[in-house]
Amino acid sequence: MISRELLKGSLRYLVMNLLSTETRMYGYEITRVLEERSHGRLRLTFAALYPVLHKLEAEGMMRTETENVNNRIRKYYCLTDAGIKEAGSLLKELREYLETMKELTNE
Amino acid sequence: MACLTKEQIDFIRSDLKSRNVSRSFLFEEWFDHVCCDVETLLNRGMTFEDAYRKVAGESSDVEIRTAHRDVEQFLDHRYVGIKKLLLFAFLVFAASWAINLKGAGNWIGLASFFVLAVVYLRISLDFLGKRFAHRINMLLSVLSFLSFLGTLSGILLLFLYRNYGINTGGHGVDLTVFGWFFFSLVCLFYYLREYRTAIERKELKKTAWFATLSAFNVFLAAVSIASFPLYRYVEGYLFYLIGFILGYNTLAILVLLFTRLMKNTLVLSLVIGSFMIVFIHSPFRSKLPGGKPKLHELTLQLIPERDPGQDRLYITMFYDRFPDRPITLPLKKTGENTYSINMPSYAYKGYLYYAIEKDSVNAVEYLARPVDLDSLELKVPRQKVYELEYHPE
Repeated sequence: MISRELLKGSLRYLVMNLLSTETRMYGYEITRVLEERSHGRLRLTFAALYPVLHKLEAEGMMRTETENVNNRIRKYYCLTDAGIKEAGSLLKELREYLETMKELTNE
Repeated sequence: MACLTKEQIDFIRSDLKSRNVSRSFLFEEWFDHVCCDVETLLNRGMTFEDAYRKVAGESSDVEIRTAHRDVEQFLDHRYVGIKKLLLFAFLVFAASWAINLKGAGNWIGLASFFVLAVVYLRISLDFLGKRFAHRINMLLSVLSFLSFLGTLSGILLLFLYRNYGINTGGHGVDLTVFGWFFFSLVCLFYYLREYRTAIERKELKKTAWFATLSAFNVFLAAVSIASFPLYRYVEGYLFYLIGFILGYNTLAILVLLFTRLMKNTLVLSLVIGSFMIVFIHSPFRSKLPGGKPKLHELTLQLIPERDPGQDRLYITMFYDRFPDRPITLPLKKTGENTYSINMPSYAYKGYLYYAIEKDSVNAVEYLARPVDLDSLELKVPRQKVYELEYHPE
């Protein structure tokens, strides 16, 4: 399991990167996909994921669509044009950061 | 793939609602999240009862409370800088009334309203930046911007009227009061929304109080606006209305101070802004050192043979804009054949009708026959010394 502290700083990058490859996703779906792709090492709680989604929405990086699915309201998130642009540069930044961390931790 | 039945969904909803978090703007998402979690476990072969017990145990209401608080903090934290600006505006405003700097107080007062207008503009931009967070933020941004425009243009018109005598048709008052009205609406809508989604008891109580305070400000501003077209009929009662508004806002500021709620910038902007706007239209301002009007000097220069040799003469006069408000004042001898008087200047531009006599009774008699009055054109503040006519009988 990856610690909450390590996850906190990179969650925004991960969510935006994930959404840049999908048309739209809802909150629970995001947690499941990230958990599957990380082979169970990355388990997001509600308290960790949703503030990030709402912040991105407030910043205009994401827009939302709501639908009634199986007798409950489901909110879907998708990247805006600004979000798509931002996701590209954030991913580049994240890769640089990971490279740097790798070099630093190998020393 | 197993899906929850309507009964199971209703059960989950009512159970989650019993945790007193259903007012949160995150509730529907939390509810869907829990349902999805339960469905995942159902697909792994668990019974509904076991699946829900497991999910409910892991996903306590602490999760939604934490997320709710995090989002709220993110949406609010930018107001810190605005609060500092606001307190600075109020200090400058207070200084402009506390210190008599021979007219400089007017400029200091103007500066304080510029800062207040910047606060409204900053809030407007902040709502604009957060327009994606809540749909109503766009409306709040527009209303805050109207407050900015009203305050700025209103105070400029008032300043030009009071200091340069430019006739602004009283629109300075209208615009500033409209600015206050719009900002009261901003606060009302904002705190109503906060109240609707608050989940903590403390937050509920606080937002209910702020919404009430804002609603009452909307009402007071609306009453003030209604008094404009009805001025002739309500003129005698405006003193009480202004006194009440100032008292109400002073009390609100003190309550905010003593209950340590000063960090709530919007409500603080509302009470401080409305106090400043109403105060400049109040009669109390003239009681303070900075509110004393500037004086300009009227000088009577007599030809030596017409000098009655008295130490004072009397002038009876009125401004052409206020013919129903004549006054009689003494002119003191200030030099050889020269008599002067210091008169309050309201930066009046226009004509002064007057007559000069040896005693006040004779001077007043001139008012009965206005055709005998002399007149001169006042050009305050450009000109401060005037030559007056004296015709001894």
